[in-house]
Amino acid sequence: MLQFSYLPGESFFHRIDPVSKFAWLIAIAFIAYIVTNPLHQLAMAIIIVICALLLAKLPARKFFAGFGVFMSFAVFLFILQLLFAPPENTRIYFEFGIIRISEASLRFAMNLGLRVINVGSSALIFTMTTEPARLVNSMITILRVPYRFAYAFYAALRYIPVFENEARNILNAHAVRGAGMDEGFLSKVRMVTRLTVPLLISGLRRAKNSAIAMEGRAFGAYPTKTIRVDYPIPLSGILFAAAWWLAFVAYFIYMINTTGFIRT
Amino acid sequence: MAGLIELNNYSFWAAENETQLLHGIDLEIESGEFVIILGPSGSGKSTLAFCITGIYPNVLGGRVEGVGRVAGLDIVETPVPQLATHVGMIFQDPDSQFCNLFVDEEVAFGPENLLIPREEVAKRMEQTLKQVGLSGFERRFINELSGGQKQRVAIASVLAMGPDVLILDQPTANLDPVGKSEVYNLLYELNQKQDKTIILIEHQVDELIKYATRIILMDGGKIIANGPPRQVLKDWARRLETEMGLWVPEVARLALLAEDFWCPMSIFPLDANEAAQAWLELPLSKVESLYVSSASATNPEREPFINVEHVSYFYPNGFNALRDVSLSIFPGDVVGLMGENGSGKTTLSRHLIGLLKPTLGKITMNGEDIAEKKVKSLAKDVGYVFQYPEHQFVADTVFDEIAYTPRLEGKKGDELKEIVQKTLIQVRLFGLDDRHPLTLSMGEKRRLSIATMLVRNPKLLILDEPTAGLDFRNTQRMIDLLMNLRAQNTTIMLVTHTTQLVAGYVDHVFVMEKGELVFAGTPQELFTNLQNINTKAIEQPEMLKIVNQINLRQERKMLPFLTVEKLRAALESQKESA
Repeated sequence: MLQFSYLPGESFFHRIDPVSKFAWLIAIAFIAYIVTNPLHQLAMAIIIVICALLLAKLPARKFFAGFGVFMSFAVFLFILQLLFAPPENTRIYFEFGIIRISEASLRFAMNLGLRVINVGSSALIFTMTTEPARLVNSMITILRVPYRFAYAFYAALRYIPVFENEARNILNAHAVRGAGMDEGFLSKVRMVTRLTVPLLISGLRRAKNSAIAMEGRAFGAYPTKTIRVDYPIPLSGILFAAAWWLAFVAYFIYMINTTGFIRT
Repeated sequence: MAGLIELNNYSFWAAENETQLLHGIDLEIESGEFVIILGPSGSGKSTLAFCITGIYPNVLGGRVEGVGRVAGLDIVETPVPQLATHVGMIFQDPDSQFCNLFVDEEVAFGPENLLIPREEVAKRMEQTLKQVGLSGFERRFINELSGGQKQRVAIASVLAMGPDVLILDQPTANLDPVGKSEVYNLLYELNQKQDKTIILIEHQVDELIKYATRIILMDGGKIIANGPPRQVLKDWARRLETEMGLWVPEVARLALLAEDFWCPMSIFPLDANEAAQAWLELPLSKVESLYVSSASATNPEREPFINVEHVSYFYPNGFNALRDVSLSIFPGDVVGLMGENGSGKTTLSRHLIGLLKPTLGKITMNGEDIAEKKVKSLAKDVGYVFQYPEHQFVADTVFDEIAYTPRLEGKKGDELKEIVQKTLIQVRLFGLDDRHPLTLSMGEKRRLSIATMLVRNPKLLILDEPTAGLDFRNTQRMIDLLMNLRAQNTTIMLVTHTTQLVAGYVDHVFVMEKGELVFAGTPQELFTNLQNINTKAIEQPEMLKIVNQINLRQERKMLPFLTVEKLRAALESQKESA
């Protein structure tokens, strides 16, 4: 999980405000949805990677480590589509029983796989370059989300590393007892069930302690809080997001003109 | 003048089951005091703290009778956030009391919630971080700090609310000696220089007594003693240990020992200095056996059981946790592994059960390379008891918990029952077969987690902080259990910060520092040579401090006793030979 968390840094993506960045993220999701040509999808993937490395200045190793998770999901979808998507009267390369690899299925498969990568990797850039406190700050000041909700979201982030650490300890502790070192799917399932109870119990204990600590620190004494830092809302961020939305509209018009309809 | 904290005939009933947890507490604490609250677990110490901060009844529910005031405000009537600006509380577990990711956010959190203007928030943040010695840590991830630093952040974030009183519930229980002294020194400074009132709940108070203006002793939800430390300890020390099962400072135990030999000290000592002075007035101090060591049998040549040869280990992230470590462990020894948190102790001990494999070098057990064995097969010979027993439990009853491994090995029926019952007796949990492991007390959980390892008759038993958080009685039971195992020739490794444990019961100590082995030898060699060993993580035993004070004052040099018990043994050997 830690591979998705915020990496402090100095870059264009770190500077622009979270709301513009979020608008950018949504624009990418929309574009990825309407693009049906895998080459166009690939072009966008390359642009996103360039964004990650140059505009967000993310260390390549960390970025691609997080990337790997989407990659495996994308590959899974790719294979599924490749084997089972309908050929739609295109050339068939290979056929065996219900499995048919055709030109159309290859195209679908590539497009879908790349779509997952595009949406996932842009989300990764978002979480890696957005300081959680600033996100909460923007949620409160720009989007007018109530403080309580914004904070709950933030508190969840704070517990990820704690639970991660605890889960690792429990797995080690069980391993020493001769439990859970087997391979295979079923033993993985058993491992998860064995983890659940101790994690839940310590979670409940922590929740109680947290509630006490928060109350002692006057959380919820007023519906709002002192906004300690005014984060800038750089024009460049707004323009950046706007440009992507413009690209979406342009591509949308292009799609209507060339194909006359919108479908994957 | 009314006290800063005032409770009159204050009683409290828990919300869940209407159990009365506090019985008619009368208490007055003045501004600037340093109060230590002692008492067995379940005696109401934490409840009292929660009552003073208004968490009971206003956050966790419950019912109150009597009147309580903090800085003139009625505790029950005043909202908790407002009360929090007068009295702040810090807990044992650093991880669950933080609400934010970064240090600055954490410190600013309280004042922000109180809608204090941002300039003032910034000022308080700067001030309190300076007070706790963490200026410049603003943008650090809390998660990446050491235990002592975390607790100081917790203190800073409470101080930022501007309270006059700090209540701390075992704030150092999870810390190593470095972190512990960081916190204690800070508390003393806040008390002396900032005039903060400190109320501290602790088990082991050796180093704290000198700071305290008052000790409050609780039992069964009542205050049973309340007065200056010297008076309370003098009246209660013996009963604290024998009846209530609590830790008594070594200086006080020395005074009790003197009484046992029919020559009480002229004053009841509170530190090594006073103890040395009072001791030298006693005829007891001249006893011959305190100066001449009885020749101890030298160990015959033995073959090592475990050999760690030039082991280095790198974590996947590149962190070099072990640097060329070589050591030997002999069969039947009790071995101590000490060092600061992050010094590589845990990494080393996890190599011995195969959870980690050396990057360089090799580890052999009875001559065989253990890197070639799987955790599962290694686990037959090596038991590992984790610090938090809950982590290790896999079953729903005590019986099944112990039966887990024998069942994996194909045991069943009467044979299985017999094994389990035998083990239950061994760890003194007989009759608890049907209980859920998580409903046991801390001491019982620890012994159960040992039991789950004992059923396999391990040749080596590794225990990670086996006595952390236990009171005197449960610690004593743990030690008895370990000594029994030792008598059966089980090799035992204690991964620990606890000086008393190492001083009293260990044959051989290893000290780690930044991934290197910086010391290997007997506890005697370690503690009498501490200044020459490159580590801050080890405290000198209290008894040895007293011996050093004594030897400063006389020509003839007393032997370096590490514990009062060892001194007692020497005196008794004299009595017998006489």
